[in-house]
Amino acid sequence: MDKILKIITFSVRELGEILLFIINSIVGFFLCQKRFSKIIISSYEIGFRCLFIILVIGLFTGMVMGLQMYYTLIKFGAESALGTAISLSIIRELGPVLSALMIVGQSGSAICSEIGIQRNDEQIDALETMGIGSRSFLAGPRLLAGFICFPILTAIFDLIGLWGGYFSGSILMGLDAAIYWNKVFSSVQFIDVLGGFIKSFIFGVFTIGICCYEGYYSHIKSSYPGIRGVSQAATRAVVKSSIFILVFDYLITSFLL
Amino acid sequence: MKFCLNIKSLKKNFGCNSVLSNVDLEIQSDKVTVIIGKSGAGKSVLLKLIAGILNADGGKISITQVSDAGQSSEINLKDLGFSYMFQNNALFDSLTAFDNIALPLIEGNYNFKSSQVRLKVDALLEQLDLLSSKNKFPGELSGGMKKRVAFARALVTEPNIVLFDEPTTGLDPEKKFTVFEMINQYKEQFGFSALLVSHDIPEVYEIVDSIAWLDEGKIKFQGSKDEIDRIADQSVKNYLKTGRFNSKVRL
Amino acid sequence: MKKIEIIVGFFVLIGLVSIFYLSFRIGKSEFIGEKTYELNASFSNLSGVSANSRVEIAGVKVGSVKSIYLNDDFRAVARIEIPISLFLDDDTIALIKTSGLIGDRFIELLPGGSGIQLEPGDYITDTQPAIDLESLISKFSFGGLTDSK
Repeated sequence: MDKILKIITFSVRELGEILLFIINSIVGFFLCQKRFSKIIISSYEIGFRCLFIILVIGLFTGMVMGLQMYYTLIKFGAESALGTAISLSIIRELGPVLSALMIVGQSGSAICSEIGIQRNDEQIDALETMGIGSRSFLAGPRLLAGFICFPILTAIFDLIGLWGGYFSGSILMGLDAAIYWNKVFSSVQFIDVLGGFIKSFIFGVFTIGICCYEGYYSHIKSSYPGIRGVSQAATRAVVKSSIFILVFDYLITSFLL
Repeated sequence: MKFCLNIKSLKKNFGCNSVLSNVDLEIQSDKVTVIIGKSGAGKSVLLKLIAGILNADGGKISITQVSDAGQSSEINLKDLGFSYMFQNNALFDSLTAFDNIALPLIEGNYNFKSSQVRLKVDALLEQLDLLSSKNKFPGELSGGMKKRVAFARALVTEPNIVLFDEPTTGLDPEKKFTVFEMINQYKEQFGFSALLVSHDIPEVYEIVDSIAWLDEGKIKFQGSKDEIDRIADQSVKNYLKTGRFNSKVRL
Repeated sequence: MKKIEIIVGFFVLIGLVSIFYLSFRIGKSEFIGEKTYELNASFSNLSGVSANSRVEIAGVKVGSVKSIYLNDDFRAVARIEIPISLFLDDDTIALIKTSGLIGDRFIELLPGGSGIQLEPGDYITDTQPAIDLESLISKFSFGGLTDSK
């Protein structure tokens, strides 16, 4: 019992620290120079580089859901509900969650280790001695790029996922295409789409925040400072981000429903 | 600008491990001061405490500035204008040499126009003989070149004091001399004071005005190089002179 | 540097198109939708109909159920939203229908021809609840149909 309490207080404190880190970075960033081009570079890093994996994962998620749902629904003679099932589960849940997990795996770990190595190489100290706010310089543009790119990638994931469902359910299994798309269009409400986007906004800022935070403090948070510490920090960043995504997905869903 | 940097009973612990127990040091403007000592004596820690990268656990660092009119006032290091040259240069891998040098001007609160920045950086690149590697990334430069780029980055903000953390690590004896000469030459040219941390006894003696020996968390000796010869204490004398034999053996 | 800007610009463009397509085509956002007015219809039983259920006329979706509440006479009242361009007469009939045998329920409107228009907030009085499949089956199997006559 004591241990559980300890874990809870530790997580709450950690979350608070990360939130303060995020706020400090973003507020400081608005005093930085050349903000626009920094956001562009970070958006390339977080957004465009993840486009390919989002397309592949989205397509195959939709396809496998098409197959599974079709076989389940046909037992009840309700295969016409395939479009509803796929579109709602992708747009509400799988889109934001899976794309956030993918972006963390692809970009978040890279960001964390890059900042961790910069910490290790004293580049962060160098920034501070030059009078440059290191948090806003390193984390600020990435946080804003996360805020921009997560919803974009989620939207792309959703659409490609719907096409994946169409491909397996309709083209391979033979459900009438009109029924599939008709169900997709008629069952999704704006509130579902909005819920998905709210999730991806929150995931975007917080997961990138966690990754930057872990990299930035890799020298004190790890048991061994140095290269080993950076690798530990990258692991922790991905694990914590994934836990954050799934826990907060549940919490946000329960508030939205 | 005349100033005096005073360190009084500075303390720093890492966990229960006391690194600096009681450091007193005085650094005068327009002089080159070197902090020497064994590996792990806390020389770099002392430099980082002065630069404000680490926070001290006790003691005081104060800077008294004396204006031309003779009035003295206390200022902090940022207002004095300082640069820090890191042991491993701490250049940004993703930026070219030019961008690395321009970084403090662009990102710091100087409000220079981009044409002014270009002019300043180009002038510095020429002075340090780096024009050919202007658009190269740090990964493409040799060790000595990187040192010079880092040096240029430290000088571009026209600091009054430059802190050098072991500027000669990983360089061969010839390059070491070049670096020391560089410091000596640009010190005259740009008019900064310098505080060095170095292992290179006695090469470093050639350029310094004041030597401070850090041992067991204290400054055990501070004085000019002539004063070393006049020291009575044999153990101190031995340490401060040993380097000379070692370097002869190495050469 | 220039190349990155073009790539990112392209990426953001694709993203915005996707977001708008999702929100406004698939999600049918009502930000740019037509203005609507509300009508009330009270039923003896509204089981299976909920907020956001469809409202159809002749199989074409024209509106949706905004909310459902129970009035003082223990009748279920559905508040339905209908575009302002659609005029309904006061003898319109509202019935609950089911799409397929076990599909979701929706409200079907049968427009009347009385010439007296329903104003926003008016009640559709002529309603017919859903066919209760269970009681229908039990009537068949226990011969209840003849009893009720």
